[in-house]
Amino acid sequence: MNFQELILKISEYWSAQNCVILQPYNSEVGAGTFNPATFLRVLDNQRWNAAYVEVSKRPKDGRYGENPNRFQQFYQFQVIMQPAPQNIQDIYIKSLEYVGIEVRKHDIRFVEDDWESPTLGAKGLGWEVWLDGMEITQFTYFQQVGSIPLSVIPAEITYGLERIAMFIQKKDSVLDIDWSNEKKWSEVMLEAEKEFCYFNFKSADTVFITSLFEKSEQEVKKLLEEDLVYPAYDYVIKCSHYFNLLDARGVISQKERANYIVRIRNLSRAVAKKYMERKNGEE
Amino acid sequence: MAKNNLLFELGFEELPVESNRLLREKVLESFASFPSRFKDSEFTLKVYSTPRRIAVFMEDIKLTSEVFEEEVKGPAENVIFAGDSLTKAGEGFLKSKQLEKDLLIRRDGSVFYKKQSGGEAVEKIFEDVFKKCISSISFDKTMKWDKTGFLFPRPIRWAMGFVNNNPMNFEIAGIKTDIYTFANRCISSSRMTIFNAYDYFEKMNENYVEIDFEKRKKMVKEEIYKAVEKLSLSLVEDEDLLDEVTDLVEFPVIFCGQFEEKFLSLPSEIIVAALKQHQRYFSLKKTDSSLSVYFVFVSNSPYAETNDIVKNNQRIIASRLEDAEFYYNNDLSHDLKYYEEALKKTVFHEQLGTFYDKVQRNKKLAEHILSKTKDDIGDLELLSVISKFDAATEMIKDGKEFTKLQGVIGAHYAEKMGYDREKASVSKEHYLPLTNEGVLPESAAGITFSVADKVDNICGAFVSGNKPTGSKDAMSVRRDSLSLIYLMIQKNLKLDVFELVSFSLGEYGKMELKDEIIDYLKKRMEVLFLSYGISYDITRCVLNKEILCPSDALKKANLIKDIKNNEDFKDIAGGLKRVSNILKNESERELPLNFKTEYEKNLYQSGIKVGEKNKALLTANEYENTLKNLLSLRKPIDDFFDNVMVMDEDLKLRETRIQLLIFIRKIFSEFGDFSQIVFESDQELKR
Repeated sequence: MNFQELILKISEYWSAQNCVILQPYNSEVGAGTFNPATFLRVLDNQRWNAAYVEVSKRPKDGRYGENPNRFQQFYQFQVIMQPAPQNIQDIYIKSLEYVGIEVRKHDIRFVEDDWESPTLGAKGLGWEVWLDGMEITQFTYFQQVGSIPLSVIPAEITYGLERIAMFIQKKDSVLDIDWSNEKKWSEVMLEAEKEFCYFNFKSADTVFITSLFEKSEQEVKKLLEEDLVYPAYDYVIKCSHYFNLLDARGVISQKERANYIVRIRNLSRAVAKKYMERKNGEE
Repeated sequence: MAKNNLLFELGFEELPVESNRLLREKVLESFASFPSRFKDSEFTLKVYSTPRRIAVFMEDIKLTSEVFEEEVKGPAENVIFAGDSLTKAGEGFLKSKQLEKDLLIRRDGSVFYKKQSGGEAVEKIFEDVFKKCISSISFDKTMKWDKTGFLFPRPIRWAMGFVNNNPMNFEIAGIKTDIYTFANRCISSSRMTIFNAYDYFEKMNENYVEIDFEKRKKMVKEEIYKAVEKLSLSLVEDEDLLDEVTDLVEFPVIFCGQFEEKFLSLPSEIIVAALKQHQRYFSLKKTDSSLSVYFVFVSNSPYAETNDIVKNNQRIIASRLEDAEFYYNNDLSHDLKYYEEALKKTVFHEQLGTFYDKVQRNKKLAEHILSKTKDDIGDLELLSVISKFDAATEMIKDGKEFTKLQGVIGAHYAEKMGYDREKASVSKEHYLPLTNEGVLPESAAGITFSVADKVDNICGAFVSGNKPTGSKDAMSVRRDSLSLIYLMIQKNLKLDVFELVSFSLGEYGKMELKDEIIDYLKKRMEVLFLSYGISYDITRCVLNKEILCPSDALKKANLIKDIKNNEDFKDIAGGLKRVSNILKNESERELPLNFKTEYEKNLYQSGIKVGEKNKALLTANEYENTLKNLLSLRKPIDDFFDNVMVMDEDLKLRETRIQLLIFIRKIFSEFGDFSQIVFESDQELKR
């Protein structure tokens, strides 16, 4: 099964679980959790099932395409089910079978790993799921998002698509994954990967990006005053990405780092609060 | 007749290892004290647990407790009765208790009545005990998962119970007990109906669930040893890891894998840590105790295809070791100067500055310690940087998987950078001992920097508002304190802890915290000494001083412990307690030498003699003889109390006698505060 078939197949599976199938978000995010389809929608505390591919950008993780497992950009498949179904672990395991993994012939394990995003004020309890010792999924029951405790608990399932493809295709390197019947992952992505590594580590203009961060931070506040929650949240996402870029460029000291995180968390909390106020007003 | 039994199983999603251990302990604890009225002669209790379930099995129980009648005391007679007829209150009482008038017994001014007790069903008591147990456990972290809002470390998904063949019937965490359970995840995800306890055991067995933790652990161990033997290698023993993997699987299946030879050029600690922290693999070593490329791991899958599972695991560990190698080579491309600069940008603690600041503080403390011990350990500047530079390396910084190797990495890198082994090892040694039983530093530099590091850590925690409380100790002050005291005792260091604390606080400009820290350290010493078999009162006796050298304190405490029941000592301690009471509101003034009786004179002269002798002995740390001399004061003290009245009406005589006692007390307090000693007879009096 090639990479794109895997994506189609897994989408098909979750579609059958009555998930809304969305497409990747149109702004740079570090994880599928940042997508408003997760971050904002779970604050509704209503039934909400959605699934989508997310392009996850983590500038610091780049290795110029030289490490078989580390890239500054990879694909996640994100599932959010609120409230979490009683048999969600089984539903998840069946999804692996659906994409052709004979689970009983392998070693599947749920290993404690409590996920937390300090910038999003989000945390939950859960596991990393191991398949023959490889972490292929992060599984989290959110307890809090946007610094607000949730009353209806969702399950978030985040698959590492490249890793699952490696597993299925028995490949030792992400670069060797068959993307389609004709093209390998490296043929589709490697050139951009290398260039972005140079950009992230060496050439991103830190003065320019710092100013973008600050302007975006102001923009969030302004937009919230105008009750434009979704646009305001877009700028929170941008802040987070600019912070990641500055971090990769190595211009943020540890102390400043903590400070940046608090700034972004304050923004995400303000957005979440405004969103909740509006929802509560509608009821 | 067959024995009655009860089986209950609670099922959940994979519980974290620590939570599972706690759950197992607490359930066992709760049921160990299951009421005896439900136990028959051969009552047995078993608690079973896997990552997905906890089960309680009780055999030879009574289904209902015996019914018995007891007499209960009611209200006063004159409230219930007016003569022979009932009062209004009396009528109400009968109604509320559903009693008849002639069932009341009138006696001693009260009414009594008979009540039937017992007859409770074992199922109900089980439910109460289990629920109470579950809700009283304080897990590290808990979560909600559905609208019941029940809190547990992971979602609870099923409950099943039987009393003999009869299903139990109650609700826990919003789940009704039922008659099904689940097999090992790798076998099936369908419900499995159970008929009774014995059926349960059989089905668990058939479906690859070893419910008994100890048996599972034994399986893991035996299988690992078998695998290791086949390879003619030996295991890098790790009991914690063994316990952990036992709690990660329901049915252990062991596999062997190997990594590429080239990774053996990495320090073995890094490889072992990568294998353990990331993947929970056991490392193996060759007969010359060098690391081998083989490792063993424990899976949960009886049907796994060996070839696939081993290959997949090998691929993962290769990429982990690849990462470690990347950090390693990168780290060694820099020199110590580079890291000294990097320490300036590496935060040690938000309120306590960078690692560079920490290094400076440790260096000053080390210098101060050396001025006391008169040791010469060489270039302090260099050693202080070597001790901490690894905090800025890729391998250690940002809280990665190798953080636990802090110190070990530093020592290894420093040697690679060309520093001699003794200097390099200060990085590793100054963290030792890790606990109050741990391996000790050996070099003078290691010992000096260990004391400095710990004193600064302890004071720093209080300075930054992180003083430890019963439930919180974010900066591990407790561990550092115990390790520090242990180190000072083991290495017989002639250092005053209180003075070191003062010096450190002086550097922080926070002298006001001194009393609080000293109190804390004294309490830790009480705990540590207790573990050496020394009771609190003796520890208090030797701690109640202005200076505190732990090794001296322990020597004194042991001497007192040995003679505590000696008659002379008892008598003297009793006398000193009396003195302490008499002197409660008195203060020291000049001692007028106008003694009226020979007893006073004699006590004074004996005191002078002992005082002078002991001064020399104490400086030479001759505690045994010091104590002997003190005991020789028994007779003069006894004679004094037998024949002299302290609170004489003549105020001049009284003042002389009071000042004489103060003088005598001072001679004792050079050794310790004997009025702290508690004898069993005192305790009985208190009761």
